[in-house]
Amino acid sequence: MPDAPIDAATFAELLETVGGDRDFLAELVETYRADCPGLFAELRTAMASGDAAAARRAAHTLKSTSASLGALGLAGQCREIEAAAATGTLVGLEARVERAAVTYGEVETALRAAVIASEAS
Amino acid sequence: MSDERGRVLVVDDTRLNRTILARALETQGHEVVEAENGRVAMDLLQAEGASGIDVILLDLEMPEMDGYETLRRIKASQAIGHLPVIVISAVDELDSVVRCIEMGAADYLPKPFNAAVLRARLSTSLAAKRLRDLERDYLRTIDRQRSELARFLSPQVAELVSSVDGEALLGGHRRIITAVFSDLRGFTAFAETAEPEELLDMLRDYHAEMGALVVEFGGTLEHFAGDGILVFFNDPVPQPDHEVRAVRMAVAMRERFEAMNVAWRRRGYDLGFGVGMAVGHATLGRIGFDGRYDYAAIGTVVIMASRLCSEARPGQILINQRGYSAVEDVVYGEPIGELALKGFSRPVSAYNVVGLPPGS
Repeated sequence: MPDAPIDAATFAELLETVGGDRDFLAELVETYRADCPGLFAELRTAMASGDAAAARRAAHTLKSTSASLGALGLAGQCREIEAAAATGTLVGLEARVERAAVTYGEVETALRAAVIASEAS
Repeated sequence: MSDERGRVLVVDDTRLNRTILARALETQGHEVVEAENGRVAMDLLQAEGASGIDVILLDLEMPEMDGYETLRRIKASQAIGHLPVIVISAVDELDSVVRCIEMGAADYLPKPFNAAVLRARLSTSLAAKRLRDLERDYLRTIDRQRSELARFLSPQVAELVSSVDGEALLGGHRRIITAVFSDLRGFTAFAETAEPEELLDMLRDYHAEMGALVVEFGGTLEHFAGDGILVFFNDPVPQPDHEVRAVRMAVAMRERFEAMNVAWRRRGYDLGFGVGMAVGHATLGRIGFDGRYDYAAIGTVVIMASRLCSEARPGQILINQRGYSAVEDVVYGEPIGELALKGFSRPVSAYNVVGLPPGS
């Protein structure tokens, strides 16, 4: 399922990387869920004030952490925002940011489900 | 795969990624230190020194000081430039990886992280770091031994011990050498009456001055024994002009003694300086026993130099026939006839070196 919000293989690999510790994995997901709204807020603020550097940094962090948890689609969207912001202009990026925010909503739901599934297994 | 454990510095501005990496590394048995950007990492590296960290995992995109600048500073540093740096990189940043490898990064770790890849990358870098540390320790030990050795042995012998063909030469060989034996007339009487501190101070000064001349003329100092000094030439380093070097050193020693003697006379010391010099065959090599070996010259040439020294009156430099014929063109000398030396069945023709021609 290439379009799934969370790539199952990456998520499984992450569990293995942290030594199979499911509680720790759940904590990681919590950290991610705690950080992301703030990053989207930073991104929107940067858009509003035209601060391309700040937008780029927030998009970069969103991309990086999303990829780590297997949210590859969201990571891809953030990568495009990051690359666009890197050129110094933010024109037309608002729509992409909002699309990414919608994707994040799906990712969050899927992550919670994945954690529950992993704890049940 | 080797089972290397290390202390790893993780530099990443994203807390989540740092947390994942730290846990992954700890799971694999490593100790982890975290830094949230390049500046914090550099401060930490400077505070800990190179010995504190084995490998650095470095993210590229960071506020304050990014990965490129951090890498540049690490590689430019004498103290920590050797530390392996593994660059953390997303698959879409492979251009950056190439740039970092060119800047001196050891390897890269793709994001998202994979336990097996992390293990393999770390293991390689840690092994390289351990080898380098070992090499550095060995080099330090060799350096220390060499400089310690040089304090106890003459420089030529110290060099010989650590050289490739040293073992063969140490094993024993025969060669023509020039042996120079010198000592102080009146020293025994002086030693009996002088205060111990005064005696040791005087000997220290004397050895320092004479030792400097031995080095200057390229002699091999066999030993100091109280006021007696035995030096030989043409071994272990061959010297085509060994007789001339030896006689020049003897004359320089006599002059140096005269200069020191001005002060000694004022203090009431009554000392004279005599030299015996001989050219002939000797057996050279390591003598002694496990725990204490000396590099020594053995042969009648050494005994003859010692006997000629005993015969010398204050200020005289006595040379045997063979030695004198090698240096008569470069010194002013005078025959002093035949001497009956203890241990030699036949009388020995000897010459006294009066001095060197001006400007020589």
